[in-house]
Amino acid sequence: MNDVVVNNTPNERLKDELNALYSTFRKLNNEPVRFDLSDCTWIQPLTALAISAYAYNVGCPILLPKSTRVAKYLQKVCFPVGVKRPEEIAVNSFTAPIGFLERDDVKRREALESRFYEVIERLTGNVAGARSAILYPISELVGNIFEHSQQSHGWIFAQHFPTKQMLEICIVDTGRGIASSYSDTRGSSFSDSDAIALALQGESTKPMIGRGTGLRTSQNVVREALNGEFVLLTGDSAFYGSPDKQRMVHLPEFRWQGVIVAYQIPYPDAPVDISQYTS
Amino acid sequence: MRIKVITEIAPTLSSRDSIDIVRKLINTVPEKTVIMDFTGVTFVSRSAAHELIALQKKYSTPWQFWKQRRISFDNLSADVRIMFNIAHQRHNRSRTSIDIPSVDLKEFNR
Repeated sequence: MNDVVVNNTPNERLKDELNALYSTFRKLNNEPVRFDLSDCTWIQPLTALAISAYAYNVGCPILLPKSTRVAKYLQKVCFPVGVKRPEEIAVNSFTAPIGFLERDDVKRREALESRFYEVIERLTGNVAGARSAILYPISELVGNIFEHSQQSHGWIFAQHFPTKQMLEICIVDTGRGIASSYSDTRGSSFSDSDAIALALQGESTKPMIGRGTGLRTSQNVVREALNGEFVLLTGDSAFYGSPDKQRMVHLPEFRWQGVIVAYQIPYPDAPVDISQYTS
Repeated sequence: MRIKVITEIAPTLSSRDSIDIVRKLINTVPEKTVIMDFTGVTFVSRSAAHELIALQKKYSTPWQFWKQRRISFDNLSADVRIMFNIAHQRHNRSRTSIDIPSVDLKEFNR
């Protein structure tokens, strides 16, 4: 079994986190490896959650960091297995651990998400409209796991950066991916970047009215209403969006089986109205 | 019949499949009037709101009179009301075309 050495991310910019994810998972193709975090003096949420998901699916051992500070942090956020029940998140907690969301027990999943949302609200404050703005993308993107991935589980994680007054949310699944979702319903094949573009245009895989808007409107809310940055990755392609820029990036020698979404937002300090970004 | 959403599901409703819980409840009772009470519910996702609106519409269909129920939503908070309004808007939108420049990693990191 090969070792995959996980390096420190230079800072918490989302672009750098995407690069760190790329260097960790490059050339991996769902084979068992040992993730070596021993020299990590910090690990960013995007990489941590992707390792959790990959390790769960493939069955990989993880060598934990030598740094007791980082090891304690990872223990606190229940890395890598995550929490499955709402009771595992303490009432009044300011830590949102890795959440392992399961399709089958809807009520438990909703209760777990509720507890997760409570933590996020505690962190981000009580500005008018902020609750809808912050929870809108999470609920849409988690919903996509169970509507499109054809997997029975997914992962969610939130990290706040108190000095920067910033929140990062990551949502990961290891399902069929966006391109397969379109291919399976339309009978023709799509590249990963084309599939991302279709999803961001609001092209639904379902015939019903009012569907297919989740990804498009979520990234609008993150970038435009909340002034944040947004990454959507599937297969060998990633979309990156900031308030003033959108880019599609091809990731050579890389394939994530499923979908990864991560976004960073500054804590809202003025009322937010998402209505204009959700149509 | 009055359904306390916070008791039957959770203080927040995220997914479309959570609305199945409500659907099953409605199907098991003979009452023709169903009031969904959202007291204490702090957030309803756009998808869940969309599913609830679809449910309300489905059960009001006149040609399925034996299944007919009058479903109403009560005690919606301001945040929850916003999501219902957004879900209502959804019904009439069409696809939006966007142009996203493609770049390689080197250019992306520049």
